Order: sequence, then structure tokens, then C-alpha cells
Amino acid sequence: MTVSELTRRTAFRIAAIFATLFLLTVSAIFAILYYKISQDIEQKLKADIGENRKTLVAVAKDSGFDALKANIEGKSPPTPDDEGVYVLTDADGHFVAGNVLEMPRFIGWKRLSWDAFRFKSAADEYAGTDSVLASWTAVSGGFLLIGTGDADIQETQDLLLNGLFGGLAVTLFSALLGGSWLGVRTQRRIDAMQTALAAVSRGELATRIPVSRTGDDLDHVARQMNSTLDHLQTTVVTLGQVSTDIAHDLKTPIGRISQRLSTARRSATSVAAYQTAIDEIRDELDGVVATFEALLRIAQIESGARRARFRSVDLRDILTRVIDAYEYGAEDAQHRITSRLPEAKAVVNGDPELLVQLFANLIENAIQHSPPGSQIDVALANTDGMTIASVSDNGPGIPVAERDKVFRRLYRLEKSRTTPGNGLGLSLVSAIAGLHDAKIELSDNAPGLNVSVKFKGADLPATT
Amino acid sequence: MGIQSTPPLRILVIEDDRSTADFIRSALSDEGHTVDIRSDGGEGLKYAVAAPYDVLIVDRMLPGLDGLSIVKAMRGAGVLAPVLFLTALGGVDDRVEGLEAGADDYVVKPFADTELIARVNALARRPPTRQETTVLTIADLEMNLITRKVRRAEQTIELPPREFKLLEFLLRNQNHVMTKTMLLEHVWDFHFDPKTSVVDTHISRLRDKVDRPFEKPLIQTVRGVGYSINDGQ
Repeated sequence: MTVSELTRRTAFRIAAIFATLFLLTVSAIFAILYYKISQDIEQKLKADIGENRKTLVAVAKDSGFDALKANIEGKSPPTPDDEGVYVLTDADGHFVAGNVLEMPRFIGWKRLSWDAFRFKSAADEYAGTDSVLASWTAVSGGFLLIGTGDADIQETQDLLLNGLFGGLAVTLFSALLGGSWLGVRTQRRIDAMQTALAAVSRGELATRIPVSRTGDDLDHVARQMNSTLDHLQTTVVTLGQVSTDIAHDLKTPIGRISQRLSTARRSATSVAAYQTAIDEIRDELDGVVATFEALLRIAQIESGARRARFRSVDLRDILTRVIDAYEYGAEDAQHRITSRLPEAKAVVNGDPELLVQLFANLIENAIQHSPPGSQIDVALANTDGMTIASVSDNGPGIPVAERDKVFRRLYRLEKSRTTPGNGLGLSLVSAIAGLHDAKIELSDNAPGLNVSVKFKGADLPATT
Repeated sequence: MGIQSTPPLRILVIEDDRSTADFIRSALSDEGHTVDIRSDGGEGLKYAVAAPYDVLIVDRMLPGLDGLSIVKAMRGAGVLAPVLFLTALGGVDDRVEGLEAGADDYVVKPFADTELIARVNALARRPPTRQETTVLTIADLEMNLITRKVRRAEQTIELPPREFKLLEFLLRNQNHVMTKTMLLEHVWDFHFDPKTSVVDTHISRLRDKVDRPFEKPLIQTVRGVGYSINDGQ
């Protein structure tokens, strides 16, 4: 695995991002602690020196300069250390007492390096701490410097820094560990997705992506992909089956044409006999062409291209036109068409030409498959933002087990094999409904069939 | 096949498929028409603009220049001759696009010779500028388009709206055969082939009212093709 490959891997990136984030957080916390604690200790040291100074200033004031000098001489250790640095000068700045000979003058608090001092005994070099915190103050008869080694600050800071580095190491380790664990886990799930998709593209259509129980984003994506794969599988299976059905359905008429041609070739003797044969063959071919035409039309509708021509259509007008066209046909078959259309407009967004064909197909089916004397009822209703158009008859209906299959291309019920038709009528209905985002429901009209087409209402007021 | 034969027409066919072109030539020549065939779009357009043709038949898909562009260019050049557009199987949008481009009618491939002849004849007799007639008559039948009254032999005939429209369309094209497809398109605005006989059932009801009570039938069935209304002369 190359470096760029490594950095591209999600697992690595997640671990790295985690570690960086942890380190930044811990460093920030330490920085704040470091500053606060240092400040606090310095304040305490200053307070201690302040107390000391107050006492010494009082000694000078109450008992005189010499008393102070004696006090300092008694108090200050021969070599300056953390216990204290003292310098007492007279009003002219000449050294009087203390453990440091010379000291520059300054105002307020200062942290001074030991190098700034000249020790009383040259041999002594104090290196316990790096610096001294000190300040000058005026006393009656001179000036006094009191300071203290800042070992406390130094030690605490060292401690904090040690803690920081230790903490950082632990943090870095745990962040890398946790990040890697999370990353590897994510990577594994992504790999599983890739494996599954690769299997599907190899043709193992039933392969699905494993879904964990956590219900996180990846599971969501996996579920979405699985449902897409379900859809794909159905489509592929249906397609395969449709081509088989087409081959099967067309083999029959083409076989008949071939036979008819052979018969004519062998036994026709007159022009009239040939013409009869030709007419029969042409009729047979017209049927084949009609099947192809219907298949192509379904494909064209399913492509969705016609949505570009959608407009507002009042379904009452569509149904009125269709009923008007088929009333006589129904009458001739001794059926009666009744209709229940609402007062209000039933507007949907659609292609009027296709909607006419949809309902024409449904009504033709009802006419063709119902016994004489049946009633065909066409109804339209607006309910709950839906527009439902239905065609029901008293015919033989469709068995529950077959209801899903009738929308399949070229599918025909066993009992309707003898009536004319190519098994594409309901597929076309289904394609047109699908184009309009409408749902088709088949139900029992007891006896007979009820076909409901449920449209989502158009974004238009459903009033007249 | 026409009940009253159309005078010979000069027809230009712009179609690249040899077999379809031959089929069209054969069908229309038998009717006594003169047929020129061009297989290239650009060349077809040149012919259409240069020579006075009575009817043009233009295919949708062509090498060189497609059918839609030819029709548009032709109309742009002031050619008024009626155009019959040939569209592919299942290409439902071709029809709308063809009519929008300026074609007068369309026929879907593959088509029957009878359908083609009926449509060409109907196009040829369409007057260049449409005169508004208010009364259509044939023999002793009279249809008033303003009052919506139909009378035959001094008797008033009541017709439901759809039968009125059917009779009106037949009268406007009297003495010419109207195929079932043409009737479905113009009378019902149906652009598909119904499984059951929408046209036949209406013709039968129309005959009950217009022909049956009278001596001489006017509405003729042309077997395998369609219907026509004529005075039998």
C-alpha cells in the first residue's frame, strides 16, 4: 500500500483526524492550566514577600535603620537561596547589608536571572533556580530589595510540562487506537458494500449488502442500496421474462403465416385463391405489428419523455369523452354504462391523450370480459387530496393470485386466451398510470372487478 | 379505390427507405398520380421548393436534412402544398412535432396502402384557404352548422353531439373515403387503435337516423378501409 493509498483510506483518515483533534484539545487544556497555575503561584510568592517587607519596613520605622540592618544581617543567609535575597542600601545606594552586593534598581516586580547579581562571597554560585522574583522598596534611611527564588514556580511548571507530555502520549495512543478501530470498522463495512456491488455487477443479482443493527448513516445507505438492488433485480428478471414472452407470442402468428404461405404455394390455383391467402397473411401480420406497436408505446411511455407535455387536465372531461365513445359499444354488448362524476373539477397534471387511452382500455376490458347484461360503473371522486377514478363491472373478475401478474406484459388469464387481445392492455394502463404517479388497485366488485386509479391531486384548487 | 376518383396529382415523396418509397409509389401510381421520390433530405427540399407539387410526403428521419427541418424550411420558403408526415412506430411525439412544424397530417409507419391513399386524397382536395361554410349538403341531406339542425327530405333529424360531429366530418369530406383511423382522430381525438369498434357503433346509430328512414342510403361502407358519404353519382 503506497502512502497516497494509505491516506486515501477512510480508516487512516478517521484515525488521523481523531488523533489531531485529541492532541489539540489536550494541548489547549494544558496551556490554560499552565498559565493559571503559574500565575497563582507567583501571586502567592509576591504575597509572602509583601508580608516580609511590611515587617521590615515597620522595623526600620520603629527601631531605626541600624535595627533593620541588624535584622537583615541576622536574617539573610550567607548565600542567597530560595529562602530569600536581601539587599539593604543607604539613601545613596551604597551597600549596607544583605547577601548580594550589587543590585540594579528597578520599579515594581521583576524576575531576574541569577547572573544579574554579584554575590557577597564570590565562591558561591547558586543554581537552584533560574531566577529570582524581587522588588525594591524605600525604607527610612535607604532602600531595601527583597526577593525569593522562584523554585516553586519552576517546579510546578516542570511538573505540568511532564504531565502534558505524558498526557499527550496517552492521548495520541488512545486516539490512534480508537480512530483506527472506528476507521477499520467503517472501512470493513464500505468494503462489504463494494464486494456486494461487485457481485451484483458480475450477475449475482440476489446479493445484498449486510445491514448492521446500529441504524447509522451507513446502514441507511446500505438499506437504500439494497432496495435499489431489489428494484434492479425485478426489472432485470421482468425484462428477461418479457423477451421470452415476446418471442413466444410472436412465434405463433409467424408460424401461422409460414404455414399459410406454404399452403398457398402448394394448392392455390387462381388469383382469387392467392388474394384470399394474402389477405389472411396481411391480417396476421397486422396483429404482429400491433403487438410491436403496443410494446414500443409502453416503452416510450415508461421512458417518461411525455411528462414534458403534461398539463392540467380535468378527469371529468376525459371520462365523459371515453364514456361517450363506448356507450354504443356497451349497448351492443347488452351492457349498461353508468357514471358518477363529481360537481367539482377533478384536475390532475397529465397527458390527456394518454389518460383517454388509459380509461378507454379499462372500459374496453370491462365490455369485453363481462357477460351480457352487465353493468359497468365509472366513478370519479376527490378524497383526501387524491383523485380516484374507478371502473367496475359484474364480469368474472380477476382471481387474487393473478392480480399482480395481469399488469405484466403479454400476460393473459387462462380463461381469456380465447378472446381477442395481446395481453398488453393492462400493461399499457399500468405504464400510463406510472407516468402520472398514479396507483392502480384491483379489487373484488363481488361479483366482478373494480379497477381504481388513484391520482395525487394537482396543485390547483379543486373547486369549480 | 376512391368512390369518386381524385384528379391526377403530382406528389413528391421524400423517403430514404427504398422499400417504403416503392410501396408508396406503387400505391399512389395505381390511383393515377405521378410520384417523384427523393431519398436525401437536402435534395428533397430543393425539389419541394422548385417544382409545384400537389402533395408532399415527408419522412421523419432522413439523411442530410430531417423531416421536421424540411417542412419548416419549405413553409419558410412559402410552399403551401399540403404535407403528409411519416412517423416511426411508437414515436408518439413525432406527430405533435410534425404538426407543429407545419405538416398537415401524419401517418404512422407501417401503414396500409388504403390509409395512405385516403389521406393523400383528403389532403389534395383541402382548399388552400379554408372557406367558412355554414351549410353542408349532399343529395337531400342538409346540415346547418349555425343552428346545429340536420334535415333530410324536409324532415328534421335529431342527432347527439358526437353523431353530429361524425356526420359533419363525412360531409366536409364527401365523396372521399375516410378511414377508421382518420375518423377516430378527427371526431373523437383518439390517437390509438381501440380494440372495440368505436367507429362502427356510431356509424350504425347514425345510419339508423340518417339513412334507414329514407329510400336511398348515403353512408357507404368501404370494406376494410372505412366509410364515405356520397350521393351515388
